[in-house]
Amino acid sequence: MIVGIDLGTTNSLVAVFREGEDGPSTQLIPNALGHVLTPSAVSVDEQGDVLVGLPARERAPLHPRDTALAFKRWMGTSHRVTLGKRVFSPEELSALVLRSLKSDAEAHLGEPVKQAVITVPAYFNDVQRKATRAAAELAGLEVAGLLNEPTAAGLAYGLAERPDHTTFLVFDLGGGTFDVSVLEYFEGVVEVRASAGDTRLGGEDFVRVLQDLVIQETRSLSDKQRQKLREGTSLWRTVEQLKRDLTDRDDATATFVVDGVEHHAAVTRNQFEQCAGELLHRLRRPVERALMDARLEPSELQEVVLVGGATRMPMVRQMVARLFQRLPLRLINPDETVARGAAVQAALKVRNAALNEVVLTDVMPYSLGIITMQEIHGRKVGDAFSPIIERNTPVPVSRVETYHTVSDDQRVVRLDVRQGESPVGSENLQLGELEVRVPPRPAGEVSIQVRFTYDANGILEVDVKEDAGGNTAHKVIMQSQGVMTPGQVQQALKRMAGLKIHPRDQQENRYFIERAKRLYEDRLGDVRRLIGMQLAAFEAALDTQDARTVQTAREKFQQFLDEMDRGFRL
Amino acid sequence: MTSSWPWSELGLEPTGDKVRIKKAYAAVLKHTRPDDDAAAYQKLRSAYDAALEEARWRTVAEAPAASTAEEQEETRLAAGAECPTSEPPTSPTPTPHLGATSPAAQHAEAQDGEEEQQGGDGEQEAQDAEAYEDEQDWSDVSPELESLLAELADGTPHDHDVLWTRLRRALDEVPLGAQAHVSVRCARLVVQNPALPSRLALALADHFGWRVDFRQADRLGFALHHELQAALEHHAAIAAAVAASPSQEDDAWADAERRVGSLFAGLLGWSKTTNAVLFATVFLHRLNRQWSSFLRRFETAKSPAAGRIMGLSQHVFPVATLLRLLLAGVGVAAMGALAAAREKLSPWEWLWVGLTTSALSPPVVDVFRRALRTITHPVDDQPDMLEPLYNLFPSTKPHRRFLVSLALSGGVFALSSIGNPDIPSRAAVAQLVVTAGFVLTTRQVWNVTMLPMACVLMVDAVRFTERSSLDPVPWSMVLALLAANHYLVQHDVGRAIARYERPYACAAEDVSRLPWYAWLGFKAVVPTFMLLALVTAPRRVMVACRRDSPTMGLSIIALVVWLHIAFPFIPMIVGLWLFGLLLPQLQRAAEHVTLRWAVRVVRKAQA
Repeated sequence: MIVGIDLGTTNSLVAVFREGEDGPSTQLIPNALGHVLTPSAVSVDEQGDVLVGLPARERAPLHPRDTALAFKRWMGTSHRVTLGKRVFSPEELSALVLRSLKSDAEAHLGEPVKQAVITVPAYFNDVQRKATRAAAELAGLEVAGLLNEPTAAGLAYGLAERPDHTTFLVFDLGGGTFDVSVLEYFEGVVEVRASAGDTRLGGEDFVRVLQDLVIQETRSLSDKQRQKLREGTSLWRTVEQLKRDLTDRDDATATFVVDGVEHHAAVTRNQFEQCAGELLHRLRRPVERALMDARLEPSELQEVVLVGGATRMPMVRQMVARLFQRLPLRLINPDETVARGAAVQAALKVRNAALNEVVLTDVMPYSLGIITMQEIHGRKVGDAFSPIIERNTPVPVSRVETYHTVSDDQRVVRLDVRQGESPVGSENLQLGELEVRVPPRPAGEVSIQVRFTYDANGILEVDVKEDAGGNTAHKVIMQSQGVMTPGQVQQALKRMAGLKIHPRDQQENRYFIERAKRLYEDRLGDVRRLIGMQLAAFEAALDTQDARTVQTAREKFQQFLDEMDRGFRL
Repeated sequence: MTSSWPWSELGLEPTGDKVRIKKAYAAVLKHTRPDDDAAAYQKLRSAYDAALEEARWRTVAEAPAASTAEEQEETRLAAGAECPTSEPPTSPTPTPHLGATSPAAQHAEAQDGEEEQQGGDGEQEAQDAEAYEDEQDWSDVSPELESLLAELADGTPHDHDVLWTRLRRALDEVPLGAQAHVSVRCARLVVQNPALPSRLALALADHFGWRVDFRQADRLGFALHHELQAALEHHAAIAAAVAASPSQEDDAWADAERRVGSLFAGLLGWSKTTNAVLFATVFLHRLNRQWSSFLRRFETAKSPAAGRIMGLSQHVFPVATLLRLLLAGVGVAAMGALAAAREKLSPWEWLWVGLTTSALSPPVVDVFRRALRTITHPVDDQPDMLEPLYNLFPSTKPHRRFLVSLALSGGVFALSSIGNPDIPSRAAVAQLVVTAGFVLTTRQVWNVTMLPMACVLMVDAVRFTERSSLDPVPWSMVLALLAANHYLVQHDVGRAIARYERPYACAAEDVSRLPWYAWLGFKAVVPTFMLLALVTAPRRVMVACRRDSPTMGLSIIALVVWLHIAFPFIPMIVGLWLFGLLLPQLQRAAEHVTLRWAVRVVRKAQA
């Protein structure tokens, strides 16, 4: 069984395509708490146990140092996070989330899950994709394929709605990344025309802006406290709540406790929108670029599909509406669509009979090329990027370009393979280098043919053939396997094995305890004492280890917490 | 029409009906899945693309009038559709001309409920953009943006923060369909108005992504793209200088930028060869004078011990004078660097220029003159009217011949560069004249050659600035400069030449000291380059080391300094070579240094 996983910045989901009550369809798999959304959060508690998901996120305000949130942003970088006494790479943190999703799927499906289709932002580059594969490897999952998030959304949307001959744009603003894809659906063919995006822009940025606004608006804070709040994540929950409030209302108040004193900050939607102006502005360029690359006039689009939790914000919707003017916005469940699309792709991989009529063709969102020297107005200019496979070409693809030597008696041509869009070669991401020997001749007389072959699994093969002497060189550059050597994987797995993961069946109890602790810190006075008492009672019930006592206590405790805490839960 | 490929691949007869093509493609695709057989899929895909392209042509040919009614509504689309019928397609291959018809075609397709619009290359887009530009049909652009752009083009002074906020808001309101055209328009604005504040230009670049996407070249057109990149590079350099200056008071900066920018742009054309040579010439007068005074004192002192420490002793040669000398050398070398960098000389060409410059540098020329004097005027130290003539003949002794040829090589270089389209012929002529100025020494010669040359250069500077995007030079400034130059020639040079005479006479007694003078000459040239490298290198060398290794940059500097101490001759060669490599950076750095200095001056003046 292959599952589809949406490994998100804020939340992750796992879904599967299978026979349901009303025909084959995608189903989202609930976690131990019964939620389909598992927050992408990892925390290490006092005993050194690793918590994943909602319990971990509940710990964020109280234990900002021991809790990691939004680590997807660091994928593919050498950024390291220290939780408790251990240092984690972003890949390891993602692996913990994936492992948790995997065990949820196994518990739900009753069979081992070995393979998964994992979604990544369309605009993830090769390094970030490799990191995602590495994370899956560490979680004991074989990656059946990486699928671009807006493509997944488009696939799910196309199959669910079956619109006839439609060209639509998927506007995917997730927790940490922003993607735009232009897709076309006809006769069961889901064709991606162009993708563009920004891997450093998402809902979390809006939260950060709002957090700064809240800190600024809270006059009762000292400078030192402001500084501390600005750097930490302890306000995250308050601000997230405020953001959600501002989605429904024009003004809202954030209430939070710092050093035992309650603070209030009243923020209006208008203020928030002004502060987020810069972020909204950054949403435009990918849209323009995707349309330009798809060679479409905006009027040729039939629909704009909004995906990703952050598209719930009214200002984002207004921005999109203004941008596309008359186009209808398609509002689908923005959190779940990507996971469903991943499940469809997983089913396509195993040739599920129900999807016989569906074909997906995707594009390569980045350009691939080499660094060359170009002659402009008679002057030789080095470090110029010469794209061989231009971005948004359908994959698999194979393209060939001819190049010439630049100096007399040149004996070797070194190809510096790069991925990116900058006209300056060295500003693009280096993927590899290879050399081919050429016979010494005057400059320009020797030509070489460079063939780039890129397949759907993200493997880039470079073949170089020199025309006269027949020298050739070959290199496989973006290998889908071998991200880490087997030795490294073993090592990383060994380190991961040393972690004590909090048992799955205890997750629910743990969640309520962490939630109560968070509430305890949030409240003052009598309410605080009351929470403390309830928490003590629940912990006492847990100590009895009697299943029925625990069950009753938990239900009571949950009811109590729900009354106390009217904020968002997921 | 061909009825084989691509139609055979799709199992179709040639058709203009896109829906049929898509259906056929979808049917074949179901058993040619991309992940099964990549090669087959690629074949199918190219057939599909070709078929759609051909279908587009058929639609254009069949329904030229279909869109006329809609055209009035969608004026912008129609603006590009100048000749939908004039060129009925007879071949499925796209030609650049047909780009102009595509909007009508798109429109017809949109009416049919179809979306596909393939093909069309960058050139077409650029042409489309041109067409829109020419039509001046901007119904989609808000009047607010229109007026802002007009204000910017006029150079109306503004509070730039406010202006940018407004402009940004207006740009955000631009509908997606008009983006490309607004981008082209703003690019023109940046290219045509170099006085545009750098922050604004860079903000525009960020807004449109001009510097991060190679496809912009297609969108803007090749020529405009290159001009734009050059303009942005200049703005980025200025912005970096602002960022590097200790405090950033934007208004002071903007003011300084405007003043200094127009001054230098006018005066020097910021480093066009002609103007730089002009500058260097003025500087060289001073340099010549200083050197001859130094040599004279040195000769008078007749103290080998003091000479050995290179005049660092107070009573033989004041340190301040030496420093002034070096700074003057830096100025000349910097101007040369600026000129060469803007002209984009290769490292080898630069080496050549460097060698010529050093050969022409006062100490070397002095030594050379001294040598000539030894032959032509063994005893007499009265000026000789025939001197120019003698000077033109190479002497018989090998080392003298070398010196003469070295000095004349500047002329050779200048001659060889006439006819090189990248170097203005005036620059070459100017170089020739400057060379002559060193070889011919009398005041009459200066008057006869240099003054007219200066006129030529000034006129050229004016023409250059008029033609280019720089601020024009007022003629009053030209006249003032001419007057200044004339004064220099009459007064300074005249005195300097008189002073030259004496050292020559002294040297006549002892030809064996020639190597010692040569050594002094090199000593003077090397620090010039060294100083320049040190002033500009720390940041720039790191850039040269591919932005990732500051240690590497620092070690290069350290190595050069050490070499300078250990082997005075090697660093000159290394310095020249490094200089060639670092030229573009050096040029920018020199501009930064000057501008930063200028900012400080303006601030002080304001305070």
